[in-house]
Amino acid sequence: MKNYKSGFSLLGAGVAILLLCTGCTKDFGNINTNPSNVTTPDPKFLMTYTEDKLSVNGTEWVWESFEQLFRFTQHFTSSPYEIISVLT
Amino acid sequence: MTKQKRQLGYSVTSIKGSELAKTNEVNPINALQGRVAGVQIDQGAGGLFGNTKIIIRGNSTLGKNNQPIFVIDGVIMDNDIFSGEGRDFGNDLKNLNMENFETVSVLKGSAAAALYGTRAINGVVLITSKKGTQRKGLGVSLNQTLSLSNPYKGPDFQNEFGGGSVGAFFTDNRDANYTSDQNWTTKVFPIDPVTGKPYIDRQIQREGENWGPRMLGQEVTNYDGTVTRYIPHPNNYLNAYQNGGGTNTNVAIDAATDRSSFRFSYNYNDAKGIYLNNSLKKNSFDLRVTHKITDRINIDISTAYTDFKGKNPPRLGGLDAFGSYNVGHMYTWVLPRNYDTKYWMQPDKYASVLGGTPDPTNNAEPNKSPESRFWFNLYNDNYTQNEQMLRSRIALTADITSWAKLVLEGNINNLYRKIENKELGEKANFTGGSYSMGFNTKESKFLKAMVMMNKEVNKDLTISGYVGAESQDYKTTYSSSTTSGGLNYPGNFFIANSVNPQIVEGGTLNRRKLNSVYASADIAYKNQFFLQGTFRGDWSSALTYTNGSGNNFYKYPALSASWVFSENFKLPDWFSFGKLRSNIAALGGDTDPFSLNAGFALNGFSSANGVTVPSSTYSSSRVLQPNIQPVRKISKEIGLDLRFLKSRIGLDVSFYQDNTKNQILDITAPVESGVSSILINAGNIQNKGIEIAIDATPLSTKNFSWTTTLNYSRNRNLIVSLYPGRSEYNLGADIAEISTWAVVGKSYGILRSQINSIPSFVPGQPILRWRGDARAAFPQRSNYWQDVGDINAKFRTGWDNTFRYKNFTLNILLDAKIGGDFVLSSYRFGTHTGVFPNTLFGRDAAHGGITFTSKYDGITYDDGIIVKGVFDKGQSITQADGTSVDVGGLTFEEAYKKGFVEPTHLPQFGYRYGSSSTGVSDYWVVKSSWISLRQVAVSYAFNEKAFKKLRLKGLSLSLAGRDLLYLYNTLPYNFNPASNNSNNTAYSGENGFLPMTRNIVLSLRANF
Repeated sequence: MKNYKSGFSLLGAGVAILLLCTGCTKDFGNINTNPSNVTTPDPKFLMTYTEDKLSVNGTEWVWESFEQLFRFTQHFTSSPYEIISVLT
Repeated sequence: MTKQKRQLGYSVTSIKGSELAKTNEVNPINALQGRVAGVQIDQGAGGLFGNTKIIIRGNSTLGKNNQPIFVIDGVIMDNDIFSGEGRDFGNDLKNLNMENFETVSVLKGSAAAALYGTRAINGVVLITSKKGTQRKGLGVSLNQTLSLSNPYKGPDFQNEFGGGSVGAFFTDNRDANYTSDQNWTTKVFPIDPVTGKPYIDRQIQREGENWGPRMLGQEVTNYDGTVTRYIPHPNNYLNAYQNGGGTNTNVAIDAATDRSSFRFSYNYNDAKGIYLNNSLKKNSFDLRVTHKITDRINIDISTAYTDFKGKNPPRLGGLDAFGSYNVGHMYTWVLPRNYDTKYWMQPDKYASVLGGTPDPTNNAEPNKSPESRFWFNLYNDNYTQNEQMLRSRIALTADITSWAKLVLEGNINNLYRKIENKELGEKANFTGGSYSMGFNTKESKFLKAMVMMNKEVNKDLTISGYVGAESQDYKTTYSSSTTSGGLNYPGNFFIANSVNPQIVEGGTLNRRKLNSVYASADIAYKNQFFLQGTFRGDWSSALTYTNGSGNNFYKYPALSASWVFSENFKLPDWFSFGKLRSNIAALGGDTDPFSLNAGFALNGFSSANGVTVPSSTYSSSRVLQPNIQPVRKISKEIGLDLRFLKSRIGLDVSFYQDNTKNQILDITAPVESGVSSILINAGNIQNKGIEIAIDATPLSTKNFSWTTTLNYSRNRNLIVSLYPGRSEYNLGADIAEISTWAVVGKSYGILRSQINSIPSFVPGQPILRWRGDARAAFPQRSNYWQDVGDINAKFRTGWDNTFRYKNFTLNILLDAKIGGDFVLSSYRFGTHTGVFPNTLFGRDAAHGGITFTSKYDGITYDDGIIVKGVFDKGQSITQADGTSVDVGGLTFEEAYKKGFVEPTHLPQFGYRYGSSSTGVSDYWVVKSSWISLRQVAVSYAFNEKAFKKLRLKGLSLSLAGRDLLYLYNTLPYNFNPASNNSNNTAYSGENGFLPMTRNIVLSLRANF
């Protein structure tokens, strides 16, 4: 009788463990996605960013394109800090 | 799961909680320093409750936090890292109460770590808390501690020459009242054209240079227009600090019967730091109850609540120009040696008559003292964090049969933090200022079910083991609101009081779920052979793509064996015990949450066309290698545990080798590709080492005993490989233009610089550069990367001695770190500004300066030096007559002898040697080896007779001195080695430092 009872308890424990484990990866994709980001953006907001970088932050754009330009022409291929030290 | 040490196939070191509590440290890691072989501890410069770095057996990943986890009664906590910039409020661990620790065990090997899963990849510090002990009636124990912290030594400054700027040249704002023929003349005061009197150079909009006159008590006009004596203030740095101290009270009540037990403890800690206005108040409550519900079911419930209020830790890093409200920067970069701290820290000196703090650039401001804003900020502003930590646990143990039991456990550990910063406006009429308020949450949940089995098959053979599953959830969120553009009503701190629209931020910082299954089987044969096999599998959300796919499962098989061979062989009498142990384990790891799943983020607003519109772009500039794999760590260990002479001498030795492969790394991509980096799996980082612990009881008589423990550890870190085609990886820890790298064939922690000097063909002499506008030669920068140091120590050791004479106990603990480089950014600033003694040679004829009359201006100078080095090829120097001479290939000395070059003015050299545009990093990467007298403690346990009269059950008194002094320190000028900028494991350097500080702790313990 005693053995019978303990067998049940063991089985119960096994079931509990299985229950804990079922759906071991359930909802993992959602958990690992930052709720502050979206996957399908509205292009109008993306255009705002582009426009902003072009017009308002003109200097940054110039700097970025300057850097890009020099890299594409292979004048500088390593650290952008080298450009700074050349300029100052 | 308690196991006898005899059975273990891996290395564990245990320390009694009471030993740690005696130290009265706020950060429990500090209390462990020097006591455990293989554990490397370096204190930071964060002040009263700042962070401390702890590494077990070396850096095992290329990440920033290679620190072990802390497990307190099954609740897992991290030693989170402080960035190194700003104010260090410490982390969750400061909320623990060491008075409740029964034991602290350090599990070093990975076989031990396989029990705790992915977060234990860097080891485990296991804390077991106290529970009620069975006794008659109620037990009450009271502990009252008084502590004093004394800042006893700052770095050694030069105290001969005071404030005054280096000679003029085009980038300087030199004071206009130096005369035009004084362009290269230093050691003179500027003269007020109206009064005709000399005044101390205010160095407005400059650093605080010390190229002024020798301080001989001359009568001069001070920064605020008053008349003063020009004298050195040798202790001006130490005067910026105070003696700290506080009280720590702990009351514990416990009781137990054969069926139940309870223990309640309350702790109140109130302390102030050595840094002015740095203080803490901590209230913590702990309750643990155990009860035997039936003969078969036991329940163990505990809950701990801490309320912590921390205020104004010192500011570190270089967030702004010059002083940055950082004391270390202040006294090496902006405040000269004649600066009288005690005078300028007075309210009427740091506050301006115009309201706010004196702005020396304002013509209406009569007080031109430098960096008054530091004191204004220190005394008016408040940076506070209020933390509440709640840790609760329930564990149910049920005996299923005589050989099996079921354990069900659940726990939560939640931390809620309120951050409040108040800054009074520093500009005239108190304009400016700010107020911010933020809330962070950190919540964790843990569930576990496990069946434990222990079956004695026959007299010789016992089989035990467990199977279980668990689930862990973590989530951190934040939100903050900050005023912008100043406060409308000065000194009124509320969010709506903002000049411009407030800045509001918030979101989920990270969240992670881990599900695990595990099993273990132990076989014990004749109590001599022990074999344990464990298996664990973790599913991690952090390796899962948004669509649910991903290689998010990893397993940890581990095998450990031990053999008590002294049972098998007939050993000589003096050989009491011998055990051989060995283990091999595999561990897995994931990556930071969200890093696999980028998306589109909204990043503020644009008003490009006069309309405010939200703006959005992709949240990440990196691409992912498809199918990121989990990290893999393989660790091997073999150890020997020997005891001799009736166990009076013991020796414990471990050899280990760990390799971590498949690490998830961001490898920088060429800018031409349009992305900044690629996230890939790569690398093989290896740690190999030896740990030795010797313990002995050389003397033991009725009245006197001496026990001693010596531990030694050495770890060699090797980067076996990185990504194909890459031989170096930037670890992202930069101080003073020195960055930390992992380099193939070398180690995690190679310090690299682009601004070291370049060796010339003359041994020991660098290539020189000449600057005509400074009439100075100084070493030329390489402008290419050079390996200039390695942060890894050669070895660490600790020596713990306890002497007992009758009721007295004396404990002396020494610990040492030998080898390992350290970036001393203040040495750079202090060389640049002339506050350190290395800038004395050549200042005047008395200090070895060459007296010469310059052909350029006909003036005689006495501060000439012959610069060590060789002029670069093609270097030409314009002579006084206008001709040019090519000095390429000549040493400075040769060129000087030939008359091509005049001696360089020492101030010009010193200034250039440390400046941001021409300084060379040769001297600010220094070896940091030290031996510290970590602790001397005397305790006295009163005789039973004495305390019985007071109706007490126990009474003891102890006096402990902590961090008393450095017996050996290789940092120059007695810099404090406990100045680590961050507990980010890639950092070894200082960016703001505190004086060496000793703590004296007096405690009285009484049991009723």
